[in-house]
Amino acid sequence: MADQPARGTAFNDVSGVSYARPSRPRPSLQVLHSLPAGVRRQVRLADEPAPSHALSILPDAGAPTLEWGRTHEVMGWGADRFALGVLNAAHRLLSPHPPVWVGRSRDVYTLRPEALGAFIPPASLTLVDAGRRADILWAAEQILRAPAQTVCVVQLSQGPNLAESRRLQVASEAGRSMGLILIAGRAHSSTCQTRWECDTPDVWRAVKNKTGPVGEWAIPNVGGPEVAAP
Amino acid sequence: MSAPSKRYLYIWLPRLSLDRLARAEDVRLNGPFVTCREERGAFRVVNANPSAREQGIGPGASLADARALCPDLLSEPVDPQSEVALLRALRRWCDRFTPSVAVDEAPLTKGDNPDGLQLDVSGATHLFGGEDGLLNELAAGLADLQLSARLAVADTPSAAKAWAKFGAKHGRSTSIPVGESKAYCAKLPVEALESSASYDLRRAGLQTIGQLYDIKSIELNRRFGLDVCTRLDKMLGRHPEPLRLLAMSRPFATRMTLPEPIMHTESVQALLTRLCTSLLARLEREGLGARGFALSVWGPDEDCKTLETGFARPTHNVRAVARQFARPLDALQMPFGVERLRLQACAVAATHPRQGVLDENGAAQDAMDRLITLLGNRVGFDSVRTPSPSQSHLPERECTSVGVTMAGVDTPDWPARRAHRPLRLFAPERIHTLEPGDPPRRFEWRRTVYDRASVSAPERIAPEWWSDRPGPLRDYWRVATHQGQTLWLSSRPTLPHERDWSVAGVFA
Repeated sequence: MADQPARGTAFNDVSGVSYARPSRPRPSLQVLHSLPAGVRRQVRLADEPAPSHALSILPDAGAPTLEWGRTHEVMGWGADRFALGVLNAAHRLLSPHPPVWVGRSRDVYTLRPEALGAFIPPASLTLVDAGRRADILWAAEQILRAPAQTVCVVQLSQGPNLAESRRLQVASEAGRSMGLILIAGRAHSSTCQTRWECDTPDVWRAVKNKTGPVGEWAIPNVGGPEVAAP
Repeated sequence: MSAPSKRYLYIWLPRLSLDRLARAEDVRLNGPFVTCREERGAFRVVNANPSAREQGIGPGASLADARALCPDLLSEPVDPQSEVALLRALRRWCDRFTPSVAVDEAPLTKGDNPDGLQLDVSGATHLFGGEDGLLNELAAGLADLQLSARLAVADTPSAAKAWAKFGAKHGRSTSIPVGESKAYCAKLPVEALESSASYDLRRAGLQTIGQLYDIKSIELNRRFGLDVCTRLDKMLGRHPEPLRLLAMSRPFATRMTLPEPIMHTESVQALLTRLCTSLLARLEREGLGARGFALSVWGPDEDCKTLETGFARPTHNVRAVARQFARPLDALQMPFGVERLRLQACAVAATHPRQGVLDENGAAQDAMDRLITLLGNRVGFDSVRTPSPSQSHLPERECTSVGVTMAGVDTPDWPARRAHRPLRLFAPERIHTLEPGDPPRRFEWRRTVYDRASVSAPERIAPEWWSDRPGPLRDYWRVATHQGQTLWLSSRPTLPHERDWSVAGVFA
């Protein structure tokens, strides 16, 4: 596009979205995340591809979707089911998104491959048994940052705090992967894109959504017999 | 035209225990010195050095007698492990003459240490200018290694051994011509047969092996047992005598010794890169890679530290290996510096190179492998796992998990998918019954109260009766609750009011 301004000026495209084209090298993601949330949402760097593709896990039109390059938090006893639904949706995409499950040994080794087979081929899943919380968070960060574009399920007893969740968020943006944080206890205020509560039978409730609607949705019926074992 | 005859060479190392110490430049060998071993209730001399022999001390004497003869005699017990290690190294060294080299393990049956090597030199002698040329070259090489040896070539391993031990006098090596074994061995004493009946043969007045030729084998068998005839037949080639050729283990390792200890981590890293380059080039030439690397580092005070790294896939990438060692090398504490390094490749396997650019799945797999390497080196490769089927019908053992690096190796087939199995399986956790029933109508588990909604018919799962600890017989119910969760309750099969209810799993 020859008529685009060459130096650091702002311009509007036809849809009315403001872009700022930087004259200097683009700031790091840490700098971007240090901006206030409102400003950050307004300003998109022109050289950053818009996070357009998102994973729709609910069949309804207009239902919340899960964006790639973001982390999402899930709470309640149905969190396992939610995570498996996401892994199933990612598995059905064309591009490979290897699923990884990180947690303590009691979280990771109690998962039964026989039942997993209804959602994903169990042999494709990688289980990481990291002992302490710091190790779990480190492993999750490395997995999200890896260029393998993983879907990383992280099981934590207490939700990540602001600093921890921002680290995970930056890592998943760098790796364009998706982080699902399953929280057994309390959640804290964090930088996650969406937060879900799965405490009611047959209902997933989005309690936080930065870019879309919140509300209650019926659980889609995934995990039929169509997925073969390995 | 008859088939070319087999030719065997025997290397006897009569003073192995002494030569080992001489190679290590032991200063005690300047004076009278013997190696000894506990035998028949006393320490007996195994080898004596020349100055001890001058005083009349020879092999077989008891150490007490030797000390009486020579009060300033020094001694050391033999070290079988080191001697076998030396013999194994020598076996590798002999690989330059023929690929078929075996350690003679016959002494082990008598409780002695092995002290000989058997070489199958059929068809290999012309490369060294005939058998004499081969013997000369071997003798020169062994002399360079400071090992005293006696060599013999013959048609059978037994004949070669007998000649090396009893025929070849004064360290001269002998080659018995083809087909002449019988004539040559006739002069040897009966001990050369190494049968257990040597003493009985002597008592019967039989001094040499030649005297046995005229006796019928049936009479020999009746008088001295089957052993004498079998050994005689082996020596004369009438009875097969295979060599136990073990596959030559090729340790993929390189080492480096420095004239002066070095202190800086950067220098050690530079040396490591050089070690990696030479070792990995060797691996790459053979189309191999290693999943583990061990770097041993010695200081001048013989303080040895070993650092280990692992990889998700066999690799021969120098940069990757050096990068994995960078962090443990940083943490390494060597107060007196580093004098010697040794890098060994473990778990060597064939690499299957891929064209990464065109293959999207391959690129993703490469990224995943790098990730597993990163994770495994911090949390341990045992902790990065993948589900794997196993051969059992028990719900807790129907599937298991294996380390990612071992995945796909020798796994049984996946069982048919079982939708009636829970997503998470626990060791049975007892519940607190609030309102009885079969299963309970209302119960408390993990500080939550559950109300029973619907129950599926019980399933009885028998233990593995063939195993040592089969475990109990159990019944399982699938219980849907009004709270939404579907639980897997289990109990021992007893009367309904005696059941001990516990939660075995949770469904998705």
